[in-house]
Amino acid sequence: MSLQELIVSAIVFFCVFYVGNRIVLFFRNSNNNENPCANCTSGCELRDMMEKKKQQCRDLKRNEKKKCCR
Amino acid sequence: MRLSELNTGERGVIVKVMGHGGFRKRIVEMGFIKGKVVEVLLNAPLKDPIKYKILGYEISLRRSEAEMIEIISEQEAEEQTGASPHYHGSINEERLLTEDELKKLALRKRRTINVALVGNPNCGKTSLFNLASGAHEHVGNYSGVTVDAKEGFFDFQGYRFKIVDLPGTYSLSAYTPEEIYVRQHIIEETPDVIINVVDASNLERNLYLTTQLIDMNVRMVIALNMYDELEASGNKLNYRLLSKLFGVPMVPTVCKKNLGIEHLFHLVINLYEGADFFGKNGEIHKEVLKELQDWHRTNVNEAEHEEHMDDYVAPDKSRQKIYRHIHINHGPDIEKGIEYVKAEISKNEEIRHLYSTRYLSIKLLENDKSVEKVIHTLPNSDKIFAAKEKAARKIQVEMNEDSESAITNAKYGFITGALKETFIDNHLEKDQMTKVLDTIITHKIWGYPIFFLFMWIMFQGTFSLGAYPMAALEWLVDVLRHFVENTMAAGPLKDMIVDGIIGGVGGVIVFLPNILLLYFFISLMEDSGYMARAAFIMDKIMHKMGLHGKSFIPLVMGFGCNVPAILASRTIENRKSRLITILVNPLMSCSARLPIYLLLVGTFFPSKASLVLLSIYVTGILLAVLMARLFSKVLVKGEDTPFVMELPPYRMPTMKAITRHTWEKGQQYLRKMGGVIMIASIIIWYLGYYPNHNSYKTVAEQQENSYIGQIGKAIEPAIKPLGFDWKLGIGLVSGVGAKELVVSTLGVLYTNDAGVSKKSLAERIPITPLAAYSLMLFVLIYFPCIATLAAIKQESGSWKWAAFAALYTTSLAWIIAFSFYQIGNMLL
Repeated sequence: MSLQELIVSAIVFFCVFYVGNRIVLFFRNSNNNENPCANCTSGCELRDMMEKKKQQCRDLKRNEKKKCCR
Repeated sequence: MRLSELNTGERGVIVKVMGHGGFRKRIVEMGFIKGKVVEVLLNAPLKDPIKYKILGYEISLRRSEAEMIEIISEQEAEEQTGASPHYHGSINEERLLTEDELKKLALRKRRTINVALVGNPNCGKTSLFNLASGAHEHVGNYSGVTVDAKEGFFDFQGYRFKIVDLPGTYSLSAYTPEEIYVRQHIIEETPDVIINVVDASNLERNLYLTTQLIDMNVRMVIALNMYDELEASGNKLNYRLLSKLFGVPMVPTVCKKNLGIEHLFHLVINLYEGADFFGKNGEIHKEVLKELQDWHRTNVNEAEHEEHMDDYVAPDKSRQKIYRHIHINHGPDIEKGIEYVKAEISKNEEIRHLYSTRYLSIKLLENDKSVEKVIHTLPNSDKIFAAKEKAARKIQVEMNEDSESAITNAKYGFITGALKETFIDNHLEKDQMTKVLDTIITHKIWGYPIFFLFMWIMFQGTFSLGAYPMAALEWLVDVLRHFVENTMAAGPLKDMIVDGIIGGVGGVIVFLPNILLLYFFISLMEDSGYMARAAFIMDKIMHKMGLHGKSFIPLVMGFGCNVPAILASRTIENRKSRLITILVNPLMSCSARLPIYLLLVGTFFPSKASLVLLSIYVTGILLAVLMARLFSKVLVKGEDTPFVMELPPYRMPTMKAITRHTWEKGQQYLRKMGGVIMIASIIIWYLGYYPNHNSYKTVAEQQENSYIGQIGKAIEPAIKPLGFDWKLGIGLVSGVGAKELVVSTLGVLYTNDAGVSKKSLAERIPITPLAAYSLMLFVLIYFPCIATLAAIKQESGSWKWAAFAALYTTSLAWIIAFSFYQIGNMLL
C-alpha cells in the first residue's frame, strides 16, 4: 500500500467514524428530547448560541469552584 | 442553599429573600435581612414549623417560607475560606468565622442578580438582551420571535447579571403558552428583578401588562424602549411622574443606539439592594445605605452617572422610599369584590409566600383557569369559590358587565388616567408615514402583487448581484484545482483532494455570495417591519386554508431554517393549527436548498433565473397552504382560535444589525464547508473511486462499477421517470443528512468526466431544462433533513408525526416531479 493510499484510508476511516457517531447521537438526542439543533449536521446561530450558553455555564461553574478554594 | 436546608444547631447568613413584595416585606420586617446570621434552634416533630434565632429573637417560620430565603451556611463559608476538611460538619467554636467574615461571604454571593425581561411582543426585549449580554440572539421586526426563555450572563458595576429573555406576551392571563410560561417563570423562578420592557411609542397597550405585574407585586424596573420614536413623534411624556403613579422606576432606553441601558441596569442594582430595606419611619436602613454608598464609591463612575429619583446615595436626595408598591384601583365595586375573595384566600398561610393574595383574588375574578387549579388544592377552596361567585355576581349586577371585562376595563381606565396626567399627544405622529405606507402595502388587492414584487426583487438581487463574486470564487477554485493537479504526484490522495474535496466543497462554496445576499434582503424586510405586513396580507388566505394566522411567522422563518421555524410554532396555542404548521413547514424552502436552485437556474434558465427561483418558492408556499387545507380536513380535527396580527411601525433598519446577521450567516456557511460538507464529499468520492479504480477503460465505466455506482443503479428505476440519472439520485440521498450535501455530492460525482475545467458543474449535468426544474421541485418538497425530523418529533411529541412528515413529503415530491416531467415531455 502506497503512502497516498495509507493517508486516504486514515482520512476515510475518520470520516466514516464521524458519520457513524452522528447517527448514534441523532437517535440518542432525539430520544432524550434534547435541542433538535443538536442533530443538525450543519449548524446555525441558534445552535451556536446553545453551545455558547452551555460553555458560559461551564465557565461560571468553574469560576465559582475557584472561589471555593480561595 | 436555602434556609430550610439547615439542620438544628447549624448557622447560616442570609443572602437574599425571594418571592413577591408582600412576602419579602413581612420576612424582612421579622429581621431576616441580608448579611444577618440566623441559627436553627428547633425543627418541629413533623419538620414544620422551624424555630430560628435571629438578631437575638426567636422566630418560627414554615418550611415553605424558609425555602424562599437563600443563605450561605457556616459549612459552605468554611469551605470557601479554605478550612481544613477535618472541621467540616462540626461546630467547632475555635474554627467559627467571625460574623463580619460570614457577612462578607454572604454579600459576595448576593452579587449575582437574576433578571427577567418581560414585555409585549416586538417591544425590543431581545435587542436589550443582546445588547446587555453580548449574545447575538435573532431579532426581527415581527412578533413571536422568542418562543423560549434564553439566558445570558454579563458583569456590570460589580455585579454578575443572569438575564433571561422571556417570550413576548400581551398579558398574564392563561390563554396562550407564552402567557403561562412567563407567569410560571415569575412564580417558580422568582427572578430578583423584572425588567418590564415597554414600547414607549405604544404606551397604552404595553402598560396593561405592567398593571398585571404590579398585581403580582414583583420587584420591577420599566425600560421605556424606543423612546426616540416617542420624542420624534412630537409627543411628550413626563416619565418621572408616570413612574411615581405606577410605583415603578422607569428609564427611557433606545436599544439600537445603546442609550439608557447602563442607567437601566444601575437602577436594577439600586432597586435590588435598596428596595426592601426601609424602616418604620420610611427611611432606608442605615446599614444598607452604607453598603450602597460603598458600592457607588468603588464601582460606579460618578462622572458618567445619570441622576435618578431613588438615588439614596446622593447627599442632596431624600432617604425616604420613592417608589411604593401600589394597588391598581379598579373602582369601588371591583375593589370590594377583590377584598372579599382575598379575605377568604388569606386564610391559607401556606401559599402566601408564593403568591400575592390580591393577585390570586383578581385572577380568580378573571376566571383564570390555572389560578382556579391552585385554589382547588386549598382546604377552603369551596368557600373561596363561593366568595368568588358572590363577588362576581355583585360586579355583574352593579356594573352590568362580567367581572373579567370589568377588571380589564378598569385597568385600561387606570392607564388612561395615568397617561392623561403625564402624556401630551401633540398629534405630530410620525406614524402618519406608517399609515400611508400601510394603505398601499396591506391593500386587499395591491398587497399581493407588491408582496410578489418584493420577493422577485429579492431573488433578482440575489442572483444578478451574486453572479460577479460567484464568478470570482469559481475562478479561485479553478486556480486551486490546477495548482494541486500540477504539483502533487499522481495517486489516490491527489484524486481525493482534486475530485473529492475541491470538487465537492468548491462546488458549494461558490454560492457563498448568493447566500449572503439572500440573508441581507431577508434581514432588510424583517427589520423594516415589512415581514409583519406580509404575514398580515397572507393571514386571510391562511385562515381560509385551515391555517392559523399566527402560522405565518413559523412558515416565514422556515425560509431560513426549518428547525427554529418548527420550534417557533410553539406560540400557536391551538393544537390543531400547531400540528399542521409543523407538518407543512418542511415545504418552505430553507436556505440550505438555495445552492441547488442557484446551480441549476443559472445554467438551464439564464434569462429567467429570478422568475424561476420565485416560482419555486411560491410553489412551496402554495403546496404548504394546500397540504394545510387537506390536513385540517382529514388528519387533525379541532377548533380554531381568533388571532390579532400586530403591525409594528416601519423602522429604518440599522446597517449594523443587517451586516451582523449577514456576516453570521457567512461564517456558518464557511464552517459547514470545512465540516460536514467536506466529510460527506470525501466519503462520496471514496465510494465512487473504489473498488478497482484502475481496471476500467473509461471514467464512466469505472463510476458505474464503483460502490456508489452500484447503489445509484439500484435506485435508478425509482428516479428515472422523473428525468434523473443515478448520480442525481445519489445526490438526493445524501441530501437527507443536510440539503447542502446535494450540490457537493454532485460536484464530486460529475468531476471525473472529461473536460471538467472547461465547464461549470451544472453544465456537466446531462439533463434537460425540464428535468432540471423537476429536480428543483423534488428538492423543494422531499424528505426534511434529520434535524428537522428531530424537531418535529420533539414538538409533536411523537415519532409518528416525524415519520409521517418524511413519508408524505417524499411521496408528494415524487408525484409532483413525475407529473411535471411527464406532462412537460408530452407538451414540449
